[in-house]
Amino acid sequence: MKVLSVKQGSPLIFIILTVLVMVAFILALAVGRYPVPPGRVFKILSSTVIPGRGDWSPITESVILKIRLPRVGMALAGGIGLGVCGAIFQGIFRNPLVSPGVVGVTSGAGFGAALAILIFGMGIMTQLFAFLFGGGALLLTWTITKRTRGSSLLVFVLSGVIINMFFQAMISLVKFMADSEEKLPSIVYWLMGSLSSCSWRKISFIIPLILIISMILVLMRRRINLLSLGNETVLSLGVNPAVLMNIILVLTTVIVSAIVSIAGIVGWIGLIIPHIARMIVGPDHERLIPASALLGAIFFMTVDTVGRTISPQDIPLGILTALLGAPLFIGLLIRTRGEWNL
Amino acid sequence: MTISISNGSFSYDGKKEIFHNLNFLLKKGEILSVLGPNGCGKTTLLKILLEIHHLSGGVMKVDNQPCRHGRNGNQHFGYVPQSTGVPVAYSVFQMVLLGRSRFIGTFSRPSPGDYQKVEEILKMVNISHLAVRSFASLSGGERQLVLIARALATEARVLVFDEPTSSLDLVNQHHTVELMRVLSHEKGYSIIFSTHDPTHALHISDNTILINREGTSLFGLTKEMITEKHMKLLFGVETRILDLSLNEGMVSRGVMPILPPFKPRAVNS
Repeated sequence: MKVLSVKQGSPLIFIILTVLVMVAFILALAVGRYPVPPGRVFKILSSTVIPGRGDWSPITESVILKIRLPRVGMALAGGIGLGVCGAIFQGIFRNPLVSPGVVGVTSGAGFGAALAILIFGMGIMTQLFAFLFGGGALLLTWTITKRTRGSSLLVFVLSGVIINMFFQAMISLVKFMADSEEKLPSIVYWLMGSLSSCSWRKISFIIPLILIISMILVLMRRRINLLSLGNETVLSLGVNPAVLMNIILVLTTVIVSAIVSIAGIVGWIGLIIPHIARMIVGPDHERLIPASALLGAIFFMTVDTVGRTISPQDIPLGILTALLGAPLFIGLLIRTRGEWNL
Repeated sequence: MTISISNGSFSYDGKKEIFHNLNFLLKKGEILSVLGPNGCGKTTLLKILLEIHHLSGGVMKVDNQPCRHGRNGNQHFGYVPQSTGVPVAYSVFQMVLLGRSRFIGTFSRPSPGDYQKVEEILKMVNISHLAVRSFASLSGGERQLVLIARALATEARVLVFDEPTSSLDLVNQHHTVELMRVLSHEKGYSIIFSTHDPTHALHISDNTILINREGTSLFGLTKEMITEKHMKLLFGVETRILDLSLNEGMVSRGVMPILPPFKPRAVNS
């Protein structure tokens, strides 16, 4: 029994967080300009699995299943993805200021999407370009690190910061070149982050992709824990740290590019959510990564729901995540007096 | 199991050699100390054994077979780093369990066998009572024992210690050195440890490699290597070595002999 208590913490917090995810999911589907009672939302969702018709109108069903479900589903998957990536990045770079944007992937993918909007307008090419340039940004960061013959984390983070700045400048260049009547507003609005363009066609591939890779990373969490021990120790434990690090970077890049390709740049969640998770479950990745995933989902779904309900027009995610996240974070910081460690 | 390097050399950039013509042989149950001043390449040699770096010249052999460079490190060696803090708040049990990583798949949970092995090792190193404690809350000496336990959990038969006593007080230095002696002479582990303290090398090692700042090395029986003449050449100070024959078995009786202090004046070279 003693050993059991050593190897596992209390599962209660995960039960609470999972219930909260489900509640946030149902509420996000229920709330909006066309409100639907949560009980009916649940019945409509159930009817997709268990055949049978209820007493709701086709419009209600259409609002829930065709309009809100893809959007809320994307917020759920995106929140999980950003929560997982943020927790992993802060852990492997041993730096509390790191977010998934640090290796330049967010800006790279953002530039790719902006470029696609400039050339082709909004469409499937936006997603494709986001993936291509997200991967390209990681490759550039990798190449710079390799050319310095170092594999130090600091060199990697520094290269990422430089690539990030480079792609930020490229985004500005695209904005500068864009037609100010039509394309500039859509690029600017898109870069501020929004799930308003979610449709089943767009996300039917992206959501499973994010969820499957996030699940793989969650299952790898014990290995990811090892990376905090230093290369000599990790190698002597039979794990190649460089190979593990590269696998993690590729998987996280796919997640971040996938999210950026749909939602634009949503930077805050990957930075703040792991900290909140750490305050709740501590720094061990075994618990931190799943907790960060669940919290990310709750936060993303909440922010998106608030963004589309409090004003007639959708408020961009980039604005709301910071406006809601900052006071939440400050509150937790004061309550815990900063007494948690990385 | 025997480990050897013959005519080994290493350089980071292909130009300046950290050491050259390095030779040693380590047999089962023996202790080999690597002695030299700071910056002479002791840690580099340990990294070569762990396959973080590879020899620029010469051959490393395990059981007379040339060592094949694997991607996942050298499974024959368990590594005990210098006692340092750990960013993740592990318990002692979790810390030792990490030693089982080689046997646990990337996506798998530790098996009951892994837990049992960890319990056995905690008992063997006499730290079962610390199992639920946080590693970060332990004293330097206790941490060292946990790191040794983790290396034992890898099931490697050769243990590599990086300056095991450098950050410990006198009592914990004694405990560590004594545990190394027991592991080697009673449990059959082979041990390689780096140190800049000739006292510890003299007390427990069978053979010694001396490396100076120019990368020149010398290998032989410890009592032939740790001499006043060699210490003068290696560290540049005069030393006196007590006649330890009067005190044979002193360490195993739990008494820590102390080498007389270095004379404060430097030798004119």
